[in-house]
Formats: sequence, structure tokens, C-alpha cells
Amino acid sequence: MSTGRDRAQNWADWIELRRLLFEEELEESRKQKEGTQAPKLAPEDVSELLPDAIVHSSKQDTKLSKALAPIIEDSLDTSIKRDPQKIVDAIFPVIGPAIRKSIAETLKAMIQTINAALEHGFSSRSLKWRVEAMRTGKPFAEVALSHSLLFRVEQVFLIHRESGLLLQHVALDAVDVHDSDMISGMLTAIQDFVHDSFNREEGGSLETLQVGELSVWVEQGPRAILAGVIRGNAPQSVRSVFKETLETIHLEQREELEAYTGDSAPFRRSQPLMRSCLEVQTDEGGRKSSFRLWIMLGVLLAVLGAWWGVPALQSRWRWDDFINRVKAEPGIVVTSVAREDGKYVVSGLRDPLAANPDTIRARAQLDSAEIVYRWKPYQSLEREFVLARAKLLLNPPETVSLSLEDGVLIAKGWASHEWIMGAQRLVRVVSGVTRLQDDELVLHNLQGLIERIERQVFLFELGQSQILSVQEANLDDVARSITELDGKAQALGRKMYVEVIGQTDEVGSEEANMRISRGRAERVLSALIARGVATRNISATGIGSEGYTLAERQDRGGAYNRRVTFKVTLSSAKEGGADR
Amino acid sequence: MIQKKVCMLGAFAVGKTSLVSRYVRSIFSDKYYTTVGVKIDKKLVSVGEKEVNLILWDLAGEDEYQKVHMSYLRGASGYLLVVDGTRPATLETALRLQKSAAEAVGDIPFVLILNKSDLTDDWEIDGTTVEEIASRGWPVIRGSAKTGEGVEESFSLLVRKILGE
Repeated sequence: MSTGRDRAQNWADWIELRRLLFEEELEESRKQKEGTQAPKLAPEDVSELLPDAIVHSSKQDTKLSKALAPIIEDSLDTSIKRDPQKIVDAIFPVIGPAIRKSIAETLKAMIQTINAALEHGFSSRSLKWRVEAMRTGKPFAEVALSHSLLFRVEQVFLIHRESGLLLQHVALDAVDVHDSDMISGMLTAIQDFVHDSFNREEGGSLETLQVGELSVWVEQGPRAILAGVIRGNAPQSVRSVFKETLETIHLEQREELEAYTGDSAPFRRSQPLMRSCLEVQTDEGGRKSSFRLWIMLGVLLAVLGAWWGVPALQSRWRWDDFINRVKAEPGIVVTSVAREDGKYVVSGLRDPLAANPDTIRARAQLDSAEIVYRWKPYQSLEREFVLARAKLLLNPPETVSLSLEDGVLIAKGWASHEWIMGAQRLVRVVSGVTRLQDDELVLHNLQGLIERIERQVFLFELGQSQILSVQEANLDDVARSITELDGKAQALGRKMYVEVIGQTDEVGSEEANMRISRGRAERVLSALIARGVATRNISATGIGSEGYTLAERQDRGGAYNRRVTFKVTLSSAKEGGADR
Repeated sequence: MIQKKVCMLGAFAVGKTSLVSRYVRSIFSDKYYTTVGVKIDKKLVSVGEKEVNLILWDLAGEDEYQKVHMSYLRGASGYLLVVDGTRPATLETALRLQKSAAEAVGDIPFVLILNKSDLTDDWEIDGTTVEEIASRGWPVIRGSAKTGEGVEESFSLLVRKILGE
């Protein structure tokens, strides 16, 4: 036992001795040992190692994240409690898009539902929208909504939130704006007023002011307010544009906004952004594409036209031309043109003597199978139809020409007594003719006699009225002819009249010539009466040196002009007496 | 050009509006006082070579029925305190308003105008009171809506103080 105790005592002594001998070394060694196990690091070393350590840790597992989470939560909490503005400022540009994205997703789903409901609606307008939806790839409901909303953004104010001072203002050219700085102030005042009066809770604010057609949409940012003046019904998408604009301005001009003391010049930089809010109204994209749509439609029509439309159009033109020609045709009155069972039906009045419309149709290259005529006969009172009808009915010989003046049918030329009498009877049934004038119509069988008389010329010596002896035989012939004509005319109920005309050459005074010419005519008249011509049917007249044709003067000189000739007249059948 | 927001404060019927009406550009009707409680006017002030566009928030006067909306002071660079020289009570109101304003927006420049200087005989605010106010370091200007006295002076003094000159 004692041995054991001694040994233990010895061990204790030994330890004590070692302690006494090596205390300093031992302490150093212990410290070194500790040092190798947990090396003491300076903050600089840690800062160098930390990023890598975090990366390394995050690669391995989520321990670090889990460890840090409560700390970060706490720091955020503390920060917000101390000054929420900083965090608000920091997350403002991020939170908007995030919320919008979420809302957009929800709306998309809703629109699809509406789409299904609208799918059944069908009108020309909805068809147009449907085409647009197909073209742009947008949901139909969205297209329909966008067309139901007519609006324009007229002005955009960027307002310093705290002071209500105007930072920047843009307006459409057409909008007359004064004192936008005061309006900006008042807008802010009204905001404050509404906020103080009705909504004291943080975060709430006035978003819309409505005055008749105009509305003011206000977007709040931490440092600035964006207010848009809108005319009409704007879709909510405009608000997104406002929001995005305000967020961008906050992002790009944060420092200027924070340091603002009344100098608005730096915010001129944001004008283009604000202008983009104005551009919302023009809806250029839509218009351009609708313009494109029209062009496409035009091209399509042109192609269709080449294939089908042009021939159809040409046929249509030919048809119109044909109808116009028919309408212009005398003796045809078109009262209606209609389309029945794929055929054109032309109705109206037609004089049987009028041109055949079918020949016009053939000239117009129209198919006869396409046209049905429904004519009612009538008698046209147009001059040419009256004349044509008269010719048809009276059937005049070739030697007679007919003309019409004020309803009087005038016949000229030669005709037999029988024809003339028949014509006088028939003419009464020709509509459009009041009477037949046959004064200038010479009876066939009397014509020879008349010509025989009128062919006779008695010539005289210069200044003399003495009938030359060589012409005695001619006197006998004339007298015989006149007597015969008188007899025949009387038999036909007509009267004959012979005028004996004396003439002179141009030598001598007109007075003397008149006298000589009369003397010559009377000398011949006496000679005729002496030969048995009835005085009631004959007279003498002198016309001096008048009544020559130019040819007579030039060709025969004076000799031929010293003469006596005869003019024979027959009264018309009806009148029974001479009128000239 | 620099813009500054400036408020006008004072008791009811101290003549704030009539004091400045001839000197400012105004597009809003007086109805705003009773509805919104503030009316915005504009006043261009030249100090030296600088031009400052003052956006003037004319706050409805305070009386026993209506309190001034202190939130309207937010963002203001300075204010005018208007007192009716013939009514001592309006001075008390002004002092109270100044205190509230200082609480709301901090120590910003202001100018006190003693209005109705044309009616000095009826003044019930005596010289000692005025001196006492001035001795606090408050800028005090006598003004008259009738004669226009002191109006331009008040504006340019306030602007100079705002600009720290």
C-alpha cells in the first residue's frame, strides 16, 4: 500500500518539479496549441474571406440563408421603424412592376373568360375587331375594349410631392395652357385636402378627379406626383403608362428629386418620357395598322378585280351604255329597267317605226338571252315618225318629196291627179299631220303642157316691142297650149293662170326699160288673146331689166334679155283658185 | 427660374387676400378658401438679378370654427404671417399659428405683416407690443391693403431670407 502511495506522491512531485522547471515553456506551448486550433483573425482577413465563404456555403446547403434570415428580418424591421422612407424609396421602382405583373396575369385570365362570352356576338363591327384580334394576336375582348374607349391625354404634370411645385409640364400642341405652376399647386392642395378630410390613413391618396369629359389621373411616387389630364374614356392601361413613367423618373432622377429646392431645370431631362404619356392618345400603332389593313384590302380587291371584277364591271358599263342608247333612240320611251330571275327586263313604249333595240343590243355586245323587252306600242309625234308614218300610208311616187312643217305635210314634185286626191283623203288619218299642202305639186298629165308654154321665148330688137314675124308660129303654139291647159285644169277642178313677162336689156334708163318691157308683154298678150286665149286666165307684166341671172347677162349679152316669157300657175285641188 | 412655395397665414378677416390681391396673378376663385381651405396664387419677385417665382398658398384664415390645415405648409420655403393691427386677438392667433407652423415644417423664414396701417388711429396693438415682437428677431413690416404699403417689401424681404441673403 505504502509503495503505491509513494508512487503517487512521486508522480505529484514530478509534476510539481516540471511545473517549476518549465512553467513558461508549457504556457507558451499550450497557447500555441490553442492557436492552431482556433486562429485569431483580424476583421480585414475576415472581410476578405467572407464573400468566398458565403458563396461556398450557399453552394453546399441553405444553412447560411437560414441563419441569416432572422437577422435580415430584424434589420429591415429596425430600419423601417426608424425611417420607412428609405426602404420605400429603395423598393418603389421594383414593387410597381411586380404588382402590375401579378394583376396582368389575373386580368389575362379574366379576359379569356370574357372572350368566350363575346365569342358568340356577331356584327360587322365585331367582325372587324375579330379581324384585328387575329391580325395582332391580341385577345378579342381586349381589342373590343380598346375600341370602345376614345380618349386623349392632353397634359402631363410632374409635381414635387412635398411642395406641390411644378417640376415639369408637357401638353399637346392643340391644348392652350397657362399657369400650369398654379394648377400644379392647386392640384396638390386638393390632394392634401382630400387626404386630410377623408382619408387619414397612410398610403391612401386621391387618384382621380373627374370634371365632365375631363379627368385628372394622379400617380403618387415617394418624391413626385405625375398627373395626367385626360379627355374621354381612357383605359386602365394608361395608368400603367403613367406609373411606369413615374417610376422611371424616380429611378433616373432620384438625386435631383431629393435635392430639389425650387430649380426645375434638371427635370427637363424627363420631358421626353412625359411626352410618351401624351403619345398614348394618338394610338398611332392602331391607326397605322388599320391603314395597312386598307392597303391589304385594296390589293385583295385588285386581285379579285382582275379575276372576276373587271369583266363584270365592263359588262356593267356595256349595259349602262346600251340602256342610255336605247333611251336616246327616237320613238322609244324606257319607263323601267329591272332585274328579274337573273335577266334584265326593259319596259316602256315603242313606236312600231322606231329602231329595233335588239340591233343596239347586238352592237353593245350583250347577250340577247339576258334581256327581256316589254314594249307597249304607241305613236310618236316626233317629226320623223309623223313623216315616216305619212310616207308609209300615202305611198307617194318617186317624183314626190314629202316634208313636214308645223304639222303641215308639204308635197313637192309631180304626181298623178289620182294620187293627189287619194293623199288628200288619207292624210287626215295620219296622226301628227293637220293637212296636206300640194301647191307645189304638179300634175303629171299637165306637166308637159306647162313645160311647153314656159319653154317659149319671144325676142325683140333693141328698144322695140314689135313681135318678129319669124315668131308668129310660136305664138300660135303658145295660144293652143294655154287653151288646152285651161280646159284640162278645169276638168280636174283646178284653175290655170298664165303670166306674160316682158323684159329688156340693161341699156337705157330703168323707167324706159319698164315701159318697153310692159309694152312687149302687152303686145304678146294681145296677140294671144287675138288667137283665142281667155282673158280671165292671162295677164301681162313688165319687169324692166330685172330678173336676169348672171349667166344670162354674160352669155347672151343684151340680145337674149330683150324678151317675153311665160309663167304658168295651177291652183291646188282643194282651193280651186289661183293664189299667185 | 427658381420656384418657391410660400404660405400666407393669419386669423380670419385680417385682410390677407386683399393685401396681396393687387400684386399677384390669380386664376382661382375665392370659393376655394371655403371649400378646399387654400387658394393658390403666383407672384414673381426679383431680388437683385435673381427672379423667383413664388407659388403663394393663401391659407383660409383661422377662426374659432375653422383651423388652418397645417399640412398645406408642407414643402413651403417660407410664410407670411398677417396680423390686423386693429384687432389684438389676431396677433395672438398669429403667434399661435407661427408656433404650429414651426412644429409642422421647422424653422423656415417668415415675415410678419401688420395690416391696416392706413388705420393707425384705430390700432390697438401698441408700439411696445410690436417692439417686443421685433425684439424676438422677427421681421415685422407695416402694410396696407388700401395703399399697398409694405406689400412688395414683405415679399422681397421674405425671398431674401429664403435665399439666405
